[in-house]
Amino acid sequence: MPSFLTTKKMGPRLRERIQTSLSGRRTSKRRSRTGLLFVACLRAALLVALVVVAVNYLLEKRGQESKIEALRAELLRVHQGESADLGKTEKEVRLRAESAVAQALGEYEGDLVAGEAKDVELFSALLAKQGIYLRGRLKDFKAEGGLSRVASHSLKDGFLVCLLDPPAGIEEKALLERTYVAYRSGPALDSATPGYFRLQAALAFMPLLEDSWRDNVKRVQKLESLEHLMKTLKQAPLEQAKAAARAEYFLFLIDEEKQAGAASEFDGASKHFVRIHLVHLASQDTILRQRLLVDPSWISERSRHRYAQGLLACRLARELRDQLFVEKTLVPQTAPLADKTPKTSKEGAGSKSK
Amino acid sequence: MQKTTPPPLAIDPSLLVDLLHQVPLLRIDAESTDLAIVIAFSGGTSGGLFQEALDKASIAPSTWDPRAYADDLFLARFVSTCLQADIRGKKPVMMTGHLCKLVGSPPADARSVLLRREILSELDDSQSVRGMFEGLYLALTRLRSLLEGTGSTGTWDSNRRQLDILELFKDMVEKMGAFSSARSELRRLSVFSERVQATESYRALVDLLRYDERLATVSFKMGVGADGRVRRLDLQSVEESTDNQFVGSPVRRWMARLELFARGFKFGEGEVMARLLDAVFEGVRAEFSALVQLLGDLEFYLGALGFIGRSRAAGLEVCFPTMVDPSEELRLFGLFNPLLLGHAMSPVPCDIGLDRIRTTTLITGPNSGGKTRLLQSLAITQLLAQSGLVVPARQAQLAPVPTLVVSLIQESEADQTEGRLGMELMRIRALFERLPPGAMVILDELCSGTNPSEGEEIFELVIRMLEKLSPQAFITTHFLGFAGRLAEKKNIPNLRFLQVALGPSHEPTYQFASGVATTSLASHAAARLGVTGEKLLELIEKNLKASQATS
Repeated sequence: MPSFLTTKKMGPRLRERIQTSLSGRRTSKRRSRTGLLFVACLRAALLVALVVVAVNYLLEKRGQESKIEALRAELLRVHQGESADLGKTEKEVRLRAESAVAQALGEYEGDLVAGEAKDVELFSALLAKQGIYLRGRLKDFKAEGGLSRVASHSLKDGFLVCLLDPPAGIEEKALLERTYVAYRSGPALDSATPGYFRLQAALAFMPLLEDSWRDNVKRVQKLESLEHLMKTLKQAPLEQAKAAARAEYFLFLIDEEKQAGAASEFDGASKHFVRIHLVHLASQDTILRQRLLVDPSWISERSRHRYAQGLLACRLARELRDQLFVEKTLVPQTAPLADKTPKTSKEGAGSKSK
Repeated sequence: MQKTTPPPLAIDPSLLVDLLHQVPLLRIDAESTDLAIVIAFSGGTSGGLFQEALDKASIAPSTWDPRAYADDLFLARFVSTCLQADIRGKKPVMMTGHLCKLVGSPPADARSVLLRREILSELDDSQSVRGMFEGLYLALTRLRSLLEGTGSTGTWDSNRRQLDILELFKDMVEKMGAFSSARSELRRLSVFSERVQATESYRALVDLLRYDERLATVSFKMGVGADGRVRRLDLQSVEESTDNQFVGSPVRRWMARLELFARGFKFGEGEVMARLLDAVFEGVRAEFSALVQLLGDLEFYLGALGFIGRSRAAGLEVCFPTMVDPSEELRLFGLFNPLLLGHAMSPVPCDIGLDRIRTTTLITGPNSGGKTRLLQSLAITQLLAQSGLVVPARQAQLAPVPTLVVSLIQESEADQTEGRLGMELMRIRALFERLPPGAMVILDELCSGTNPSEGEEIFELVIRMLEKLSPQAFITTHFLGFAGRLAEKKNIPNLRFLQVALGPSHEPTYQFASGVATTSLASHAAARLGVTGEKLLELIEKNLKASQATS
């Protein structure tokens, strides 16, 4: 058996002696042939085990990498598919919403009625288009991260329901009928407010369709992280988000602080001014800006503790319409439902918020 | 008579270096010694390897039986005190047991005696040869220390130790080569050296040592600044010893390590060297057994040289005896007792001369006159002469004898079943049981244990019977009248008489003259030892006074 210990320069007898030494056949205290064989077998077994482990590790790593790349490709493909039909406007929905809200948080600039808001037919047609709805308290808007926080809590309510489908009258019974719809939530509420989405749908899920998210997918190296991203992407209501992002109008209400000395109902309803803004998202043109006073004092004792908020919201919607289109016929019967601010103005065309 | 036969040869005797026998003999147990050497080399404990091998070694065929003289001649003491090597003022610890066997059993082959005398003579004559011889012995003792692990302290790199052993072996082989110009059979060392150096195994050994010492030569050019500091170190060349059969490429060396690891050895350059050492040693291990035997041979001559030096330092002369026919004259001039020399006493040389060697000589004289010392001297002289060594005499003419029987001391033993006469008779019986014709017989105060008249009868009987075996006999006796009558009658052939020569005041001179003493001078001895009438009376009176005082 050839050995690396021998060289070509060695004579055959020396080579033979080296071979004998290597075989452990020599009488020696340090080595016995059996011992050497045992150690050699042990090392061979260890080596085989190491090789198996290494190969396994490499295969596993390679498989993992294949899985990662496959999942990454799948993620990018899904992302591409979902975000392909989104334009710049849609992707900037958050910025536009923030811009519109920021404009409205300062001192009230006075009422404004422009464009479609001047005509009931046009206004109804406008409301029939896709829009985003948001309502929150003024102080919440002004807080740090206010828009996100308000958006996360803001739901479709009686105002939206009654604005899109105004109640027959302003009597409590008629308002309650529409209010019930708003309180039901779920599909019933969605069917009553077709085309309108919560701003939260866009704020929460549109980032999943942005380029930065795609870049993040490209950077991620762990399979678990990619699986989490995939799960997130698949579970996200992207259709809603995209629909919200495609909305033409942004309808948002800002509840000012309740008036001094006014009582609060069980559900938080109180007498306060509400700013109503309707903005064209793409152009940022303000179509409607109104400031109305709401006061739950007219609500019957029976409905007040349960539906005060809903009734006020519904009546506010009805009064807005009336304010816009039948102002002259609007006569409060039991109590002044809405108080016009002194800064009422009417313009022939929509004005820029800025 | 002891029969000594070398064991079956595991090594070709012609490959041995035997400095003691004309025909080289393998005297050690080759198989067990070889095994012990292998174990010792590999690092196992094999302390006493040389001692054990030589203690168990057989000796060359000899007609002498040490049991007949060793104890009476204090042979072990003589060897340890007189045959002590002296190398440049240092006295190495020698293996006296083996040396005792060698000296105590003169070889039957006269050519071996001659060979020893020639070697010893050359060593004594030539300081340079002696110097080389001593150097060889010292190298061999170092090799012995390394092999037996007696020269090391603490942990030691096993490879380094084995390399040192091989280096010493190489050194020894080279040293042996220097004896090529020797005039005696010391040339055998050179022959051994040449034979070993011609083998493939030795060349492999030399290459391995060179490989260990110089794998490559790296040349640098050093630049030194004005302040004496090294400023530059330029590599000029790297030259590998490519002609060395152990030198391989660096890749090959790495692969060798991996191969060893796969075969169950340790991973490392040390293990590669260990395998190579093992293989190289395997090639030369047979020569190591020869070295074990050689150590005993070297000590034989170094011991003899030590004896010569010691004698000369005491102003005594030694010589190689002339061996002649037993019918010729016995001459021993300047004979001294080496046992006295060993005890730091000053021996007084004497001259002994007889008209023929094969005689029975009766020695008479006063007590403490040197009779017993003379007998010891005569026996040791014969023993050394026939062992091929110098004898304690200025000039000696002797005849070889087939054996020696000495009976000097008869100590009482607790379990002896016979009285003094019985023991004496048993002694005589034992003498004749072992005595071949022509042997040398040394008897001290024969038949001194019984009354003179009966003793004389037995004495005469012994002398007459001895005559039939033609021995060379020396017998001391205090039967002066009887001896005188024998001298007058001359009715026993080959009977000679020596007497202690006395000084003017009858004091012993430790010299011997022909004839029979007329007195044993017992009164002189008694006076010297305080046994006179006056002295004894003084003691009695002293005891009486002491007794009266206590009562």
